[in-house]
Amino acid sequence: MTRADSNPLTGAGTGPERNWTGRLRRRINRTVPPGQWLPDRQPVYLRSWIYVFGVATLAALLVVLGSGVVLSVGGSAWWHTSSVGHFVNSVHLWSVELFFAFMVIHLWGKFFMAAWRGRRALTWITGAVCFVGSIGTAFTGYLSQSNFDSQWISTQAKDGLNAAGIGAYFNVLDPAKMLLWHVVLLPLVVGVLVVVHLLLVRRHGVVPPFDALPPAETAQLGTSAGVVAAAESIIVSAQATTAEPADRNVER
Amino acid sequence: MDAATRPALAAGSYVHWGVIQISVANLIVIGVMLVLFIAALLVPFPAPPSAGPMTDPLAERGSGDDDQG
Repeated sequence: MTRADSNPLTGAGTGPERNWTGRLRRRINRTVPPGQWLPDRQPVYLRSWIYVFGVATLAALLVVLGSGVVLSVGGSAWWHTSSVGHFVNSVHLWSVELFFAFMVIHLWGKFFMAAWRGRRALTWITGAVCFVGSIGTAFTGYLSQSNFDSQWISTQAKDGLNAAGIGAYFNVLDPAKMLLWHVVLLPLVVGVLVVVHLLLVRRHGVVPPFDALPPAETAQLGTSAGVVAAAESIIVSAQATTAEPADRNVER
Repeated sequence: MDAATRPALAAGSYVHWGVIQISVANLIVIGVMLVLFIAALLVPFPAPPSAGPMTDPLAERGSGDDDQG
């Protein structure tokens, strides 16, 4: 783009912008096409409760983060002694329980769907690593209670980690370090993984059922009710995702 | 001694099965998760009140542009 092409008032040109914001915008649009970040229509095969557990996990995570922020403001003296502190502490605990329960059911469902099909391997991997990171975050939460329970758990964890040969790399008996890991380091890791996981889900779409066929093959199908239903589901998904990456919602 | 500083006096009930040892509480939680998983597969998903966009994008968009193959 030359200076003659540019708008003297806004600096915007008629050609593709070469500044970093323009490049970033085009990169974002290539990664997830416009309209797919928050779609208002979904393929028909998503009409099953098993697909609800992913977003239920996300909702539980938001409650975990919100209650954790409140706990960090109040401090341990508050959450151990006041009734409101006890309540928020319990909300934090039980939202974590729900987070893990929903995440494990989500994992079971995706495992039996073989959800890594259709170039979705990285989606599966980021979900699995996020699961492992969440376990570490929860365990450091046990160490951050600042009571006898956390002291007991830290000694047990120390013995277990030493027996596994990795006790020299970090000290679970250091409550300050474990608290910082719990409230900063590990939530950051899990948060980034969750964002990447969601981005990949939006990019590639939710994995279709095993019997869903690419639209080109559905035109050759007979009239069996089950086959027609499968064909209809994948055609609907393809129609709903026009102008998206070609592998979206279509099993390869 | 208040609740925050009182050590746990009861270890809870455990189930022993060979090398497996698990608390009854955790066993119940896992059982509830399995029930939820099976229910999620079997219980029909409610249809939206209008029953429109999820089932009828073909009619809305036309049927000749299935170029995603």
